Amino acid sequence: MEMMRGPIPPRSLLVSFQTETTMRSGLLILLTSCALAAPVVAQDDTGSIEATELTAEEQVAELIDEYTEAQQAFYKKIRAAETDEDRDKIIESDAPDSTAVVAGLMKIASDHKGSGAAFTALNWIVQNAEEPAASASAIDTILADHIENAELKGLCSMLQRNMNTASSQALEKILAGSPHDEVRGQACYSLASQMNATANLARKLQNGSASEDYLNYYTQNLGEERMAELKKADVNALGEQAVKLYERVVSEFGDIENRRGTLGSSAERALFELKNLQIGMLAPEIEAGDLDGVSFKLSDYRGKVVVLDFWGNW
Amino acid sequence: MYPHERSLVKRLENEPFALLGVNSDRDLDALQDVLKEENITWRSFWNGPEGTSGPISKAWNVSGWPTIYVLDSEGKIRYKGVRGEAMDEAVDNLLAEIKN
Repeated sequence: MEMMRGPIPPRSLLVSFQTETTMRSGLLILLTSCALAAPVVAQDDTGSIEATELTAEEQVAELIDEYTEAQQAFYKKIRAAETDEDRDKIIESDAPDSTAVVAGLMKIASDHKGSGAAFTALNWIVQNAEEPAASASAIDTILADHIENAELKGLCSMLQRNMNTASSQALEKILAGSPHDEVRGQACYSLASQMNATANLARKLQNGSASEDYLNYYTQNLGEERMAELKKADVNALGEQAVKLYERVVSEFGDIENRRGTLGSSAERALFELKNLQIGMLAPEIEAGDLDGVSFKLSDYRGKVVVLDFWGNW
Repeated sequence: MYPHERSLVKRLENEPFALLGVNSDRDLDALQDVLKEENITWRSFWNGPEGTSGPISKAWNVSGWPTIYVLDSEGKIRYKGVRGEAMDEAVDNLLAEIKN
């Protein structure tokens, strides 16, 4: 057998070594230099070509598994660190870099455009890529090639958390383009929640009630440009848009189940908050027993400043 | 949380102020010890046996705990989600409004 030179290729490339006697030198170069799991073809004695490549699904799973393992090893190291200093050093030097796995997944996604493997790869990128550009490009590809996928709900919840225009545009595309009511309902609900959260953030920025930690968190996530936009945004208009979207959830997608019951009941609760629990509104009455079972009302405390604290000792 | 709330209640004991809780523990018997240990003297509505899914927090669409509302003496909502020093400041502002 001709000895292999260079770095050891990843496991995915080693599976086809059973007929090594007929390996051509060109193939060896491919094996030793290519970081990606490219199709490997081995020729047997009879001269017929036998493909023994991993499927695209398997390649995706392997890339993700390898990265997940690296990440778990990294977390284990962090947990084992004895001092804060050691911990910081580990974070600085050993944090797994997702760039290579993202590039690998992107390649598989483009080689197998529109496939289930591509969808898995792109979703992973959206959820895990550190580079915003990689995530944005994966979202665009999902919308272009996978708009009919029944599993787009997860992406909606993910997009809901980003209060930027690109995310709301993506949600609008899903709402308009998905053939599945479940997906469209989630997109509509996510769009409403995103709009509501945006209105709340804009209000806090404008009335100066945001704490420093809060400001830092959102500036880091949204960027200074978006924060400056929100400082000038029309808070009431944003709130009205949220109301319209929640109302659309109730009327069009009310019966669709979600984790807390139905999309309709979740939207109704959000609407109640928007219409009754805003600053300046009279607090809704509460009448219930206290911890000794004695009934009382919130309005019993009229005339006093009241802090109402929803708490639990769990 | 408890020490901060205790000191707020203590500081404002002679002011027109009340700290009211909406408690979401499922088991009230187990809670009694905590009330004693932590010296929790302020009154709470009980959210019922469903805990955090109980009727009061459901009506108020509470999804994060703790959630805080500050109401003025007329019962209007004036602040939401203020904690720590921001909560103290909110209360002081509203108490000052009554006096002016």
